[in-house]
Formats: sequence, structure tokens, C-alpha cells
Amino acid sequence: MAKDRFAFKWQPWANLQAFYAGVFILMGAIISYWYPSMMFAGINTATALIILAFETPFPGFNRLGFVSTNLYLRALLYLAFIVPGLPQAPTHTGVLCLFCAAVTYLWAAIRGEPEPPKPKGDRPARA
Amino acid sequence: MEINWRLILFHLVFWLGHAALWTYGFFKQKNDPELAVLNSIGYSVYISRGAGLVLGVDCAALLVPVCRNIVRFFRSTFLNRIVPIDENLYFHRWMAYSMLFFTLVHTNAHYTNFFFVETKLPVLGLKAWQVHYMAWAGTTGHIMLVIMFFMYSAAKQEVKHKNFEFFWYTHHLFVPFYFCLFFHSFGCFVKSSVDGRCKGYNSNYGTVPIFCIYIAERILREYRARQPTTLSKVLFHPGNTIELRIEKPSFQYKPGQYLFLNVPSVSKLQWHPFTISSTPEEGFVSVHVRVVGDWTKKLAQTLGCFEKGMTKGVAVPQVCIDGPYGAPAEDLYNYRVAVLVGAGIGVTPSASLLKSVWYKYYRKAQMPLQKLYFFWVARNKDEFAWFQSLLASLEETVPTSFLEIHTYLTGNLDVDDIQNIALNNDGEADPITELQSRTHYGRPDWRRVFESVRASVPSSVGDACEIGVFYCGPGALAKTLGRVGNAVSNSRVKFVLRKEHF
Repeated sequence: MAKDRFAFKWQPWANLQAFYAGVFILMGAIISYWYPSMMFAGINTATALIILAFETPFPGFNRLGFVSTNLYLRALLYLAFIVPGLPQAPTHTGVLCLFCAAVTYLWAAIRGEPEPPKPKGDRPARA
Repeated sequence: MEINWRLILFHLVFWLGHAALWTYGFFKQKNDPELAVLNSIGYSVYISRGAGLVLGVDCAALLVPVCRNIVRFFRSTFLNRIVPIDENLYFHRWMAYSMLFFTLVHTNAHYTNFFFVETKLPVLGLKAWQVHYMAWAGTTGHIMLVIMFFMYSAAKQEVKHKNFEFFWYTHHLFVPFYFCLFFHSFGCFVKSSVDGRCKGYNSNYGTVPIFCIYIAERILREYRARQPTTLSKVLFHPGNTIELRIEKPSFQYKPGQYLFLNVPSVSKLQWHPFTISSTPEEGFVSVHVRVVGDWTKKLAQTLGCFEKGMTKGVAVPQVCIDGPYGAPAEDLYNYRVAVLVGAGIGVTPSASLLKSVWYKYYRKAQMPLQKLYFFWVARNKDEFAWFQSLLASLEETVPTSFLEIHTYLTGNLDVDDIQNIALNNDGEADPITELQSRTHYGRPDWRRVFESVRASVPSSVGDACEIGVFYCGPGALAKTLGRVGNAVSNSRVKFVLRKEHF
């Protein structure tokens, strides 16, 4: 199915979704420093930065072997990252977007799409 | 997009305008005595309200550049000299970026507000989560945020180019988005403490009319597309290019314009822009489509282009065209000297204009244009076959004092090609294009080309001449032409780059 060069790949969209979700979570985490329990602010800041590092991709984060290339693992990791964002309101939107991103990654993994391309790799196709 | 003073000026005005609007909203909220209860929360209220005002204006302005027919109307007015109307999608995208920034400001300031409403304003008796999810503003706001998330992530080039339909569907989420926007202030959260009056931004007075205008535009486009249209001829040219000849009596166009093509059997909802490569005098509309991506490949298969020999039993598919829409090439005849540059499939607007020039010359029509240079840069020799006969007849009828044709072959040649060229090179005509003018091999030295164009501007044209450089093709060459044009322009002769892009 994915052999055709022109077939739609879900991975680039999942990448963008996760990137935006990371930005939203980071913003929410910064706001939640003023909320009663600072612990969540700290955890969410960390998860957001990890997401951004994977999705940018920050140099080095695409060379962690299995951890950075396997899409199933990434989907599961993002599903886990949803949990600390749930207790406080500012991170809710980011968590919802992260859920969408995780589902899209899972779908890409099920379809057997290859690992995310290296930054200089793909040239986008034209209509 | 080359960086010039116009671009810098645009961004300066754009961002300063936004900052001014935000500041106005900020102080309007702060200095309003009727809203003292909410204002007691602090700065986050003013920040969020300022951003909200900016968003109200942005959401209205966002739809204006995508009203294609209105844009087309304004193209032909004086407004086009002040504002580059061809860059409407650039404006739309920057509006979207601004909206993204101010949305983040607005949302995060409001999250802070909700928390303070719960802690600092017990008189209102509201919990933060209630304002988040139960109030009109909170619910519609969150829906809008999720819609924006889908729309923005699917609009990036990486996704749009790989599956246009996906981008198209997700971008139509703008309809529920705008409905949420209209109802965003229904909860009347921001109330005057004096008379209980809602103190929103009244942005609906702007966004609702513009939304209705856009919907009217879309209805008009649908109606026009359903006028009788027949696909009368399909030619498959070497170089993987399909020429479609369409007859549509209700379609009036000028050379150099473009249209949107839809072939329902290929994809019901995708419309793709193509330059019209014919002239009205020919009685039909033709487009040259290069097979590059998934839609064009499927189109080629539907039309039976990959069948060997004569195609039998290929049903003629239904086609719809929408347009015509204006493009820079339309303004060719306003210049006294013009340069047409076509690279690869970007030669199509030039073809349409050259055909029109042929007809005008044939009829001895009066026009300001006195000298025209045509540069066709192609990677391989098959591409020259698309318009070889047009160029040959042009060479015969139109003297070189008016039209100069230069062809460049930039791709690598294999040994057989080189031998072939060498063998046939001593004849009257060029071995590759069979034209009088010789093909050059390799990329043009644009600096030298422009300098010689500048030097040979006929004295009959007079002083202070503007030379229009009309280009269609890959972006990298556009940058080069812009740069070289700026460098070679002097006080007497000025090169103006008019480029097309989709």
C-alpha cells in the first residue's frame, strides 16, 4: 500500500501535530507555575521539551536508534505524556492535541510507514 | 520571496498595526470603569482583551484575500500599483501566523484569568473549570483551538503537497470555526457592572458580512464551473506533458490568465491551477499539464496517456474549469519592452502571450509593446516539442526587430545526443528546435543577458523605460532574476520582475 511514491504518508502530519501539541503543553505548563501545585508545571515542561526535541528534530534526537525511529514507541510515549497534563486546566488543550498526534502516529505505525526522515532527506512531491 | 524594501515595509506596517490594535484593546479594557470587577484581576485581563480585539479583526481580514473573484476585480484597478495583489496568499498566510501568535497570547492570558476568577473573585462564585468548559466563550474557544490545530498542521507544505485533498478537507473546518467565533461572546461574560450590557468587541459586525461574501464567492464559483464544458482534444506530448483542449462558450479570457481545473473522475473535490496556454482567437481553452504528482498521474491514466498505440474505448471524462483569474502575464502589453522567461512547464504563460502576439502582429494591431524577448530554459530537449510549431511560425512571420527567441538546454546530454547535434549542426536550422535561432547549451548567464537587453533598448522607446520581466517556473530562478534585474537596473532602464506562482 505504501509502496507507491505518491501514497499519502501520515507521519509528516503526525510530526506537525505533535510539534504544535508540544508548544501548547509548554505554554500551559509555564502558566501553571502560578497554580497551586508546582510539580505538574515542572513535569509538563519536561514532557513538552522532550516532545519538541523529538519533533523538531533537535540534532541528536534522531540518532537514538530504536527510541527515535520506532513509531509505535513514540505513540505510546505520547499517550503516557498525556497523563501529567490532565490535572490542571492550562495543559488540557495541549494534551488533547497530543492525543490526536499519538493516534496519528499509531495509525502511521500500523500502516508500516518508515521511520521519520532525516532533516535533509525528503523532497515534497507536487500535485 | 526576495527581500526588498516593499516586503520590509509590508511587515513593518503589518506588525506595527497589530501592536497598535493590541495596545488599543489593552487600554480600552483597562480604562473602562464599568468593568472594574474583572479588571481587579490584573494585567492578564487587559492582555487577553487586547489580543481578542486583534483576533476579531484578523479573522475578518483573513477571508478577504481568498475571495478570488474580488481579488481579480481589484487586480485591474489602480490598487494593484500600490499593493501587490498577486501576493494575496502570502497575505493570507501571514494573517494566519499573526492569528496563531495572538491566539496563544489570548488563550494563555485567559487561562490565567480563569484561575484568578476562582481565587480572587469569590463574588462571582465560579470555578476555573466551569469557565473553561461550561461558558459559551470557553466551549467555543476550545473548539476553535482544536480546529485551528487541525487546519494549521494540515496546511503545512509537507502535508499539503503530498495529499492536497486532505489539506482541502481540513481547511474547510473554517466553517465551524467561524460559527464558533460568531457565538464566542454569547455568554456575555464581560458585562458592564452599571447596566449589565455585554461589552464584547462587536467583531461580528465585521466577520459575519465577510464570511457571507466568501460563501457567495464559493457559490458563484460552483455555478460557473457547472456551465457546459467539453473536453474536445487531448494530446500527450513528449516530456510527460498532457495538453487538454476544452470548449466552454461561457468562458471569456485574456492571454496570460489562468484557470482552475477539476476532473471529477480523478478527484471530486480537487481544483488545481494551470496557466491557459491558448489565446481567445483560437476558439478553445488549452492547458498544458505536466505529470508530476498523484493527481496529475491519475489524470494521465484516466485519459489513457500511458496506453501504447491508439487508445480505444477510453471514455472522455467530464471536466470543469473555474476562472479565468488574473496573473501578472496579463500586463505584458502595457510595457514598451518586455522579457518573457519560461522555465520548464513555466513556459505556458509565455506560449499564450506569444500566440496572442502572433495574432496581433498578423492583424497589425496597435500596442505599446515595441520589443519582446523570449527566453525558454528547458532541462531536456523533449520539452521544446510542446511549442516548436508555434515558435517556428512566429519566426517566419514576426521580424527579430520585434521578437527575439532564445532557447537554452540545461540538462546533461548523452553521447548519442551530442553526436546527433554535431552531425546536424551545419544546416540552416538549429538541430534541436529546428528554429533559426540557435539553442544555447547550459544555463544562461542572466547578468549578461539583462545587460545586453538594457543596451539594446531601442532609442525609439525614449528615456526612463521600464522593462517587464515576466517569469513562470521554479522559485530559485525567480530569486536570481529578481536579484540580477535589481543589479542591472539604472536610472534610464529599470527591470521589473513580474512572477507567477501558485
